[in-house]
Order: sequence, then structure tokens, then C-alpha cells
Amino acid sequence: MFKKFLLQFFLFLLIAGLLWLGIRQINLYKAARIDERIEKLEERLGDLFLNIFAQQHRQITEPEVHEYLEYLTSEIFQKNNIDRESIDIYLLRSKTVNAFALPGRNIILLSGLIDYTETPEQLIGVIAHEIAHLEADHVMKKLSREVGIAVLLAAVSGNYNMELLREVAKLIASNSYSRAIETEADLMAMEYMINAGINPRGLIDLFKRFGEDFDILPSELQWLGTHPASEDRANQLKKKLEELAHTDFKVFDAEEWEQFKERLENP
Amino acid sequence: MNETKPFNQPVDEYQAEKASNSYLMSMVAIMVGVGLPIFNLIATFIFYMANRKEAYFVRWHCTQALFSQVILFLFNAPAFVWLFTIIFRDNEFNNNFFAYIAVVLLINLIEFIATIYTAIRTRKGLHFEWIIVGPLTHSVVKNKEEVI
Repeated sequence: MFKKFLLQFFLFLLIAGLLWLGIRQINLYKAARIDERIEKLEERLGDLFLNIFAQQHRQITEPEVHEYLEYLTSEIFQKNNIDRESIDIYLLRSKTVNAFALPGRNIILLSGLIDYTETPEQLIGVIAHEIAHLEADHVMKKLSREVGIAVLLAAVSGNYNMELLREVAKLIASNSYSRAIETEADLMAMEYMINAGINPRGLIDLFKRFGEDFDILPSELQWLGTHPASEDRANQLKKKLEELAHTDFKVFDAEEWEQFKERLENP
Repeated sequence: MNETKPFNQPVDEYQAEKASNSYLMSMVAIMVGVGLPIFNLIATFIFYMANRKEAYFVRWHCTQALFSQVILFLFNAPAFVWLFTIIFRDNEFNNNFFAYIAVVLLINLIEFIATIYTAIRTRKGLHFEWIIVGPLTHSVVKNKEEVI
């Protein structure tokens, strides 16, 4: 009887295996238009959260400011084959030192962060880091993991609680990614910068500054507030930088940078 | 696919009800909203433990119900773990996953129908033997009355 069981069981496994191989040919993933649905969900979530942040902070729309940001980041997009049109960068006025990626390929930069950065390379480093989060799909993974797909679907269907959405928005702005995810985004950002001919030391310097200032200004420094130890990240990037071959880096005009920062201070 | 074989001994009302309930246990676990694959198994295991000293007919069907859930668990657990890694780890939805889910759903559907059908048959005191788990149950459950 046991032999009969073994024979039937292996036959059953064989049939199930063949069935799986057969169904694979149909490509259910494509048929269910999963990518398309996820993209739509992300777009709608992005709009929803953008509205929440736009209600809390005034948007900076000065064309000169955005033109300069374009100038700083254009090589990052071009040299890394990232579709510039697919990512929207929003500038919001706030003293908080923060930047974060939103679903729907949106990046929010708070003016406090720009004010905190000392060089164009430091600012580009932050933007490259947020682009890396978008490229690696960290934002949606984090949301589906910590908030749940059901809540996200309810949010876009209009069946949501505003308080809950604000809490989710806070979670996004908190940048509370795991150490592994942050490290991945850091390394990707450094690679983007090297490919674009921009000195990645800007990012390393920024992490070092965060490490030094974090204890002094805990409430202001949200961008690194919940990130893993910035000193460790700076050292890790430094080590990686030594391994990578790189040539001369682009030099940014100091005067233009100062003008850009002044424009932000005096709108 | 399954075959009905008469049992040599007469089955009374009490035994028929017990045997039928062994199949209904897994249904109850689903109906109370416990979607985790382990709960059906636990439910049938508890029922099996409570009835392992009952008459041959009852023991036999409790064991068949338990083994059917074990085999189902072998298919459902990887699907559950796979889904878990997609949501909580860096794994992604892909065609392999959807194809596997389709196969698992089909197996669950067949098992669901077979469970209901067997519960009805056994409630009438009729013996009903499944493929795969039937022979396994026969090799494990012995008729003590016959041995003596």
C-alpha cells in the first residue's frame, strides 16, 4: 500500500509540475497587467501624499531655482539612463532638513536641507540618494510592508481616513528605511555621481556633517534622524570610493551656488 | 479519481458522524476566517488526536482527513512563504509565482470539493477512499478487530 502511495504521490507531483510549467507559458503576470496596476496605484498615492505635504508647506516655484536644480541634476539622469521625465522634484519651504521620495516617482526637497548643504555636490548627493530609492522601488516596498496593500488600495479608492493618511505621510517623511536599503541607496547614489562626473565626496561630507551635528540639532535633522549611523555610512562610501576608478570631477561655479541659496532665502 | 470501497464492518450513526466531522474540521478552520495554511492542519490534527482510539471507520477517516491536509500544507506553505517574501523582503511578483498560485488554487479547489463530497458520503456510513492519501492511510491505520 505504501508503494502505491509513493507511486501516486510522485505521479501527482509530476502532473502538478507539468501544470505549473504549462501555466507559466500563459504569462498570468502580463495578463493580469500587474505592472500597469501598480504604476496607477503609485501615481494615485503620489498625488495623495503630495497634496498632504503641499497643504503643510508652501511650494517653491521660482523658475530660476528649478532651472539651477535641473542644471545640477541633469547629468545624473543622462549618464545613468534614468528618464528625467518620469521623476518630479518638488521644492517645499520648510526649516526642516529633510528630503524624501514619494510613490509615483516624486521627490520632495525641503528648503531647510538645501540651506544646510554647503556645496552643490552635497545637494546632488541627497537627490541622487532619493533617485536611488525610486529606482530600486524602495518606497512602495516600504509602504506595502509597513502600511499594508489593503490600506493603500483603500486610500486610492477614496475610502480612507485622513488621520491615517497623515500618519502614513509622516512615515514616508521619516525616511525610516532599513540599514540594508539605505546602504543600497547610498552606493547607488555614489555610482550615479561618479557616472555623471560629479564628486561623490559631497555625499560623504554631508554624512560626516550629519554625524557631527545630529546630537546638537536632533529635531531639525530629519533626513538623517532615523537613518543608520551617518559616520558609518560616510566611512563605507569612502571605502567604496577608493575601490572605484574615477577621473576628474566637474567643478561647479561657487557664485552660482550662492546665488541659488540666496534666492531660496529671499523669495 | 477517488474510489468507494465497502468496509467489512457495519458503521453506526455515531461513527458516521465522527468520520464526517473529521473532514468538516478543515472546513470550519476556513470558515472562521483563518486563512493561514497551518490552521486547517492543526484543526484536523486535534480532531485526529481526540479520535485516534475510536472504531476503525472513524480512525481511518480521521487519518485520511489529516493526511489530505498534510499534503495540502506541503503545497500551500511554499505559496504562503513566497508571498511573505514578496511583501516583507525584496522578492517580486513574477510569472512563476502566479503560475504556482494557480496550481495551488486548483489543488485546493479539488481538495475542497473532495472534502465536502467525502463528508457527505461518510455521514451516510459509506467509505470513500482518496487517491494518494487513501493508500497511505491504509498503510498506517490497521483494523485491530481483524488482527485479533
